[in-house]
Amino acid sequence: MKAALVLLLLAAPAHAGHSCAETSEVLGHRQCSSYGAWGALARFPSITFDTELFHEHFAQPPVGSTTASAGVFAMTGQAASDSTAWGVRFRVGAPLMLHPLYFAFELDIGGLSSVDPAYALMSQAVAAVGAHAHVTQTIMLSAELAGGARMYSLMTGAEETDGQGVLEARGRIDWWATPHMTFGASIGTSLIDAGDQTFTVGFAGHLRAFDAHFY
Amino acid sequence: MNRLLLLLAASCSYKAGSFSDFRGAFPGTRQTIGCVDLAVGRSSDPAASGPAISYSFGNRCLHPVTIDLASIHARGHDADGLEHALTAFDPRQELRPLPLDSLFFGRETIEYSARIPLPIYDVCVDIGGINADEPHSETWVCP
Repeated sequence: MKAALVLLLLAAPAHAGHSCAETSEVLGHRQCSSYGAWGALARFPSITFDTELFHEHFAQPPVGSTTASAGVFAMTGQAASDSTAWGVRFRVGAPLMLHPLYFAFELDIGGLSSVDPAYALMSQAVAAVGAHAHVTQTIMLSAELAGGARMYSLMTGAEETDGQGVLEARGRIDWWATPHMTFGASIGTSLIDAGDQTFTVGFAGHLRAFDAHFY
Repeated sequence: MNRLLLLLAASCSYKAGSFSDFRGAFPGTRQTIGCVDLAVGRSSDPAASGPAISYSFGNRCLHPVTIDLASIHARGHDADGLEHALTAFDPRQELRPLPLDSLFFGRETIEYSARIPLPIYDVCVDIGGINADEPHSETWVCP
């Protein structure tokens, strides 16, 4: 499968949308591909695409206490002491010119449990800035600061929404399984609501080998 | 964007010293020049009217290198044993130095011909300058 994709890439016709049957591999006789397709990768920026599962624990219920619609978001006694969220995080990152700093944008989509009503949607968009360092050739540690906003949507007959700001300090560990793929985990703690903590696990694809980090 | 996604999905790495990529083993005579593992072989591509040489290369290092196939000198012999300097067939003038990413690979096939139209029977190429990041050291290979 991977080989087929590489073939597709290297033999892709110069003009998308037109089919082209290559009859020769010799320079000057090729009709479909130009010289030096192999050189394209080195000209791409170092971009990382993460997919993670997240779990967030809230010391205080994130909705209900902040909403004006207390009647809609009333919490039960049990829910008030334990509220969690889970879901999927999509993340795109790239290094900054000032190595080893990097930035990333994230979109979280998930569910909020242990609230009344029993289920609510949570979405979050944040930007993160951090720095990373290789502790071995295949283990990378990172520290980052993430800020943005999140929104809750609760269906209680009519859709109700609420939102709040997000500011988190995080630590990450990533293992380079291959030069283009990592598996990682992170922990984060809110700098706004003490006791709110986030945990993620996931994997990432890296366009450039080892993020073009030369060590 | 499609190419970008394809590239991401397809990204696979060159393993130092393997002299192979997703197509299989690099054909021909093997050499290592700095960070570059290189194999030089004769091609039997029917489109070429003269001798054609296949170059297969992989970057064994964790940083990009510059591959300069335009730096290669070639020479061959005619039926009478006379030596001729050969030039690459490059009607669109595409040959130029290009970066090869860390742990990545590539292949090119180049046809050579004498300045005067003569059948050439054997070809030797000086690949000493193919890694443009290293000092040129004359290295002749006759695949």
